[in-house]
Formats: sequence, structure tokens, C-alpha cells
Amino acid sequence: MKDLRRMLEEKQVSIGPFMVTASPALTEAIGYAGFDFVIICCEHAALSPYGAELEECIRAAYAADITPLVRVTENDKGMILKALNFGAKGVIVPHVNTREDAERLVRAARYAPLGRRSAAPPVRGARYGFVPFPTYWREQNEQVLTIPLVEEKEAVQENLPEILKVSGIDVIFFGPFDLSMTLGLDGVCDDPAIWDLLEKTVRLCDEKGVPVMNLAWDVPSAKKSIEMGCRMVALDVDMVIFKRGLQDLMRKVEAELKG
Amino acid sequence: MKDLRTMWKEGVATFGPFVQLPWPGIPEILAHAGWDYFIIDLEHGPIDIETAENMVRAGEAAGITPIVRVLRSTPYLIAQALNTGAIGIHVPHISTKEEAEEAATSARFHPLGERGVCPFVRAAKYSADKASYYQRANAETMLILAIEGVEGIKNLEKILTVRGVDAIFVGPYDLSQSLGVPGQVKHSIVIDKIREICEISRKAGVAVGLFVETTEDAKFWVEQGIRYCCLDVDAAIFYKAAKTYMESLKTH
Repeated sequence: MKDLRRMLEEKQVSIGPFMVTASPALTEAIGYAGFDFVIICCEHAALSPYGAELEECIRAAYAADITPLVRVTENDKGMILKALNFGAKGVIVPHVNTREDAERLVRAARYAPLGRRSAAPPVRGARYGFVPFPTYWREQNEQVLTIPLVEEKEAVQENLPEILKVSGIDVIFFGPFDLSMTLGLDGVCDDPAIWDLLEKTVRLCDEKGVPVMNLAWDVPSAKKSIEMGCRMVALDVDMVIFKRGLQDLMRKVEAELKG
Repeated sequence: MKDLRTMWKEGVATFGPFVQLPWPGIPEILAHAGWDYFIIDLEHGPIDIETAENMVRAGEAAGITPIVRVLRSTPYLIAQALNTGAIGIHVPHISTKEEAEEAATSARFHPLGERGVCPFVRAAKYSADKASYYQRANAETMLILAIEGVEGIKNLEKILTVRGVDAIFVGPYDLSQSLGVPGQVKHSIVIDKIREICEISRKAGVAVGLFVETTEDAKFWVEQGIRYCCLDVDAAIFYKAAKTYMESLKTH
């Protein structure tokens, strides 16, 4: 399993898709396909942020040796706790707009004294208690990635400097889609104004030594993100990859039948 | 993950429980506790195939060898269990050479057998492993046949001539009944019969397995040559630990 924190420290780029199918099998398939991480999505998918289904997807990532990150439904300490207890290597929290939002995320994701994550030894992440709890909490506080999504006009254009002042923010995830919506750009991610804002975001984050992650929807947008300084790329969504595969296959079949 | 077949060949005894609780955390916990393998019990446990696959996956990730005991010796049930990625297939109630042959044929692809072919299952990494899948599966799949009655014991030497049998498993309770001393698993005629099975199998180069419920029995039988030592059942292990806990609470 890739150590994303170390890759970030060594300035290496890591890439992985969103998984919205709530499927342990597709989580494994994403791993076998060679991605660096998988983002298990509880924000939009039919996947409870609390229970056994989420744990099963995280477990599948371990089995296929791909690093699992979880995007929780909202900035909620219970959801963040569950994802980390189940063994996620990092949490992505949507719609972080203010310094207070970012502080709430860090508080939920870190054990005391850095935060107030609730402590319990017999969880999957701590090997059900086989890892001594002092070792577990120390490792968790050092290793868990806390990743706020800045994806609204307010966050990106106004509050980012304040958000970056929060200690314990490991990566800033730039969300072009919601951002485009809040700017009145109809969800167009490829708008020059969005790329300008990404550039500004990378510059501000660079000053604070915080790496940036971007959402990419195809290979060119991934490449452009990396060229602009992003070190993590959330590339596409398993459902969309599947849909595209289906369309391509049908097109080829039709072409064969006509030809 | 432990290579049980090699360990058996080298005379190393291995330990694993039957698992009847339908929860993938069980194999993870067993792995962390240092057990060699676990047997997902689809014969007696309330576990469906989807949960079994999740449990195989959990075991693999945690580094413990997954074995599935199928409901009965039926080709599609054996194929379905192996499609989850299980390394071992434990087939109950084998009495004749013909039954052993059918099980062996169902557990392996051509040229060793006629296992149903599908390269899109978890065992084939959902097609990522198409090129090497069949050879790898044939090389690593372990077949364990359970002899549970008089007829099976009578036919043991013939059953052992079937190609690709990695272990013979003995159910001591069924055996005690078939020998006319039901439930007396430590009766001398039961012990002698298991010893005899060990000896015949050893000559054929096949490991022998036994279900035992205590560490004392495990030690005794390992000394008699048992290598596939199926130690207790998950729910019973939990029950005993919980009971000991309560008792120690009362005596303190």
C-alpha cells in the first residue's frame, strides 16, 4: 500500500479515482489497475458513512493493496471517527468553507492533545486491540491525512488563507465542480476562471508548504493539474469509467456490425 | 499467507478453527492472533457466499490462509467457493473413490480437472489475472476430503489413489458413531482407527486432519501425526473465553 504522506514529502504525484459503486470488488479492481489510492465516497454514493458496508470497502482496499481514503458525507466527527476506525488512511471532508470548518475537521481526525477524536482500542484500524493503543494513537496522529475540500466561492476566493492557518491540514483538495456552480459557471470545470483559481490556490498553499489535490475528469485535465503543481489527483469516478467502457464497447460493436 | 501444503510435507502441524460467525473481522482477528488458516463453514454456519467472499478477502489481506467447507460435494458449490479466492476446499462426507474423483475434478481446471471456467471472478482478480489464473489456481488450490463414516474408512486406500488430494480430514464424532461408541472420541478403538488412517495416509504422502476442541487434544494428536489440526469453532472459542472471564470475576 502506498504511503501517501511519504509520497507528498518526496514530491511524488499520486493518482486515484472516486469509488461510488459501494462495491468491495470494484475497490479491488481499482487497486489491481494500478492506481495509488481510492477515494471511497460516502458523500454521493449509496454507501452509509457509519457501518459494515464502508468497512468492507476499506478492507477490500487493504486486500488489493491500494491506499483507502474516505470522503465522508459531511463535516461530522462521528463519520470521520468511523472512517478512521475502520482503517481509512485519510479523510476528505466536503464543503469546508471557513477556518472553523477546518478546525472542526482536525479536531475530529486527531486524538488528544492535537484533537478530540474519540478513543477506542478494539477497532479494525487498531487490529481489534492487537496494536497497543498508545502505538496506534501515536501512529494515527502522525499518519492520518486530513483533507478539506475547498469547493465554494467563499472558501477559495476569501477564506483559504485563514483555512491554511489551521495546524494539521495535510492537503488542500480543490473542488472545481462545485466551485464552478457557486461562481455561476454552470459546473464547467474547464473554464479559464477555474484554472486561474487553481493557480492562485496552489500559490497560496505553496507558501504554507501544503500540497494541493485537484479533481480531474480525463487524462489532459490530470496532466494539466500536475503541471500546475498539484501533487494528488482525484481522477474520475468508477461509475463514469464503467459507463465510458460500456459506451466504447457499444460503439465498437455498432461499427463492426455496420462495417 | 501460510503455504499449508509445503508445511504439511515438511511435517509441520498447522492450526485453524472452523468459522461459523458471518463476519470478516473474525479472519482478521485470527490472523493477528497468529493462527495459520481458517475454515469458513458453509456446511453448518449461517454464512452466504457473498459474506464468504468478504471473509476470504479479509483473510487474504490479513495474511491467513482461507479454506471453505462447502455444504456438500457438488461441482458448482466447489467452483463457487473457489471463485471467491479461497485457497483450500474442504469437502464433507466423502465415502467412495468416485465421490473423491468428482470433488478433485471440480476443484481443478484442465488438464487436472473440469472446474467451471470464469476468468472474471475474484479469484482471477476480475480478469486482471487472465494470463496466469488457470495455472496458478491449479498449483495453489488445496483439496481436503472429509471421511466421516465406515464406508469412507473402508475405501480410504482407494480414495487416496485419486490425484490431487492434499489432506484427509477425519471427523472424530462421526467416526466414534460409526465404530459403535458414539461420542466417545477418546475410546481406544477410535484412537486406534485415527492412528490407522494417519498411517495409511502417510504412506500415500497425504496429510491428515482432525477436529479437536482442546489444546491437550491438539498436542496429543499432533504427536500422532495430525498436520491439518482443526482447532475448535469460533463461537465456541468466544463462549469459553467469555465464560472464563465471568468465572474469574466471580472468584475475585
